[in-house]
Amino acid sequence: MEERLLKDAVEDISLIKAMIEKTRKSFLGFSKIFIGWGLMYLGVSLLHMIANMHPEATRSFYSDHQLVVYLVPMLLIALAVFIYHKVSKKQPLNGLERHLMVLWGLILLLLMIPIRVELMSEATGAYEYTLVTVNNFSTSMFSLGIALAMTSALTEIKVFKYMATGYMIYGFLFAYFHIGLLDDLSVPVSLIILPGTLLFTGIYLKHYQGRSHGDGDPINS
Amino acid sequence: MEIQSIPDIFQSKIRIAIVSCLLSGSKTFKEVKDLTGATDGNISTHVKKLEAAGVVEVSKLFEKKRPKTTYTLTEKGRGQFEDYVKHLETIISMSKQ
Repeated sequence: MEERLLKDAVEDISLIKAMIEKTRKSFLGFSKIFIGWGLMYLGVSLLHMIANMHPEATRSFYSDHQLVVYLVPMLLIALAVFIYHKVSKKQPLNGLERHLMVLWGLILLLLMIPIRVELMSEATGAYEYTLVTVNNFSTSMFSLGIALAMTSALTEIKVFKYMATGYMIYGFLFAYFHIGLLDDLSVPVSLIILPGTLLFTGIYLKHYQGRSHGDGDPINS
Repeated sequence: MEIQSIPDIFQSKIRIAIVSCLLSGSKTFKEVKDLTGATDGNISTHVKKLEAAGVVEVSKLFEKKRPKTTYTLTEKGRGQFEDYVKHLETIISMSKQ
């Protein structure tokens, strides 16, 4: 009787631990937010693509409406926050999901920060601060690589580790070496890398739970 | 809690699994089904027993004209479950002596 009682106790404790672990590794809310953000950035990339196809019109638009440079990031942040609140209201995030949100939120904010440099003005000969567009492809790849590496560490999902390695290697090679193919691919890659990463991460985590069942079926066995 | 006095409500693996997955917050029927791997009928049957015992609260709402059932662990249920887990740990630690 005692042996049976002990066996039942051990089985029940194992079942409880397994269920808590499964719940901890539930990413439903996080994945929905990421899919929403991925679609949002896909829209931004489409606008960038259209702007790149009409460079003169784009330059003219930005010089006539300089406020847009500040307004667009603020609108993106507002939309991202709206998506976050809409999803988390219906699907409250668990502890791990909240940590991941903070991590990715900071990385995405980092990617939005424009580069401000001090240049000598041709007109006045004095140094003035101005916003410039620089190719921040390498830092973007590295930033996303860091976020993916941390996500892999927190979720123990290896595919993100492999993605992080690939992103960081590409960013490093692009920064320090002129490799024709990598340079040529950087423009299309820069348009899809952020929405693609968010969408892939969101969709992968959404389906992850279904694949993460342990051996056997403790409930129905 | 005596060894022989395990509440009937926790003498079922499915009920233990359901209560365990509600520890981190309310879950919908679909989430409980995905997490526990139990069938629709089993979940409904066992949740009814948990609700009758005051361990789980069931709320049924309509979202875009579709019914959505949400389960929440009550304070009473959480307390009883914690007592039960402590009881299990006592059994295991006594067997090691």
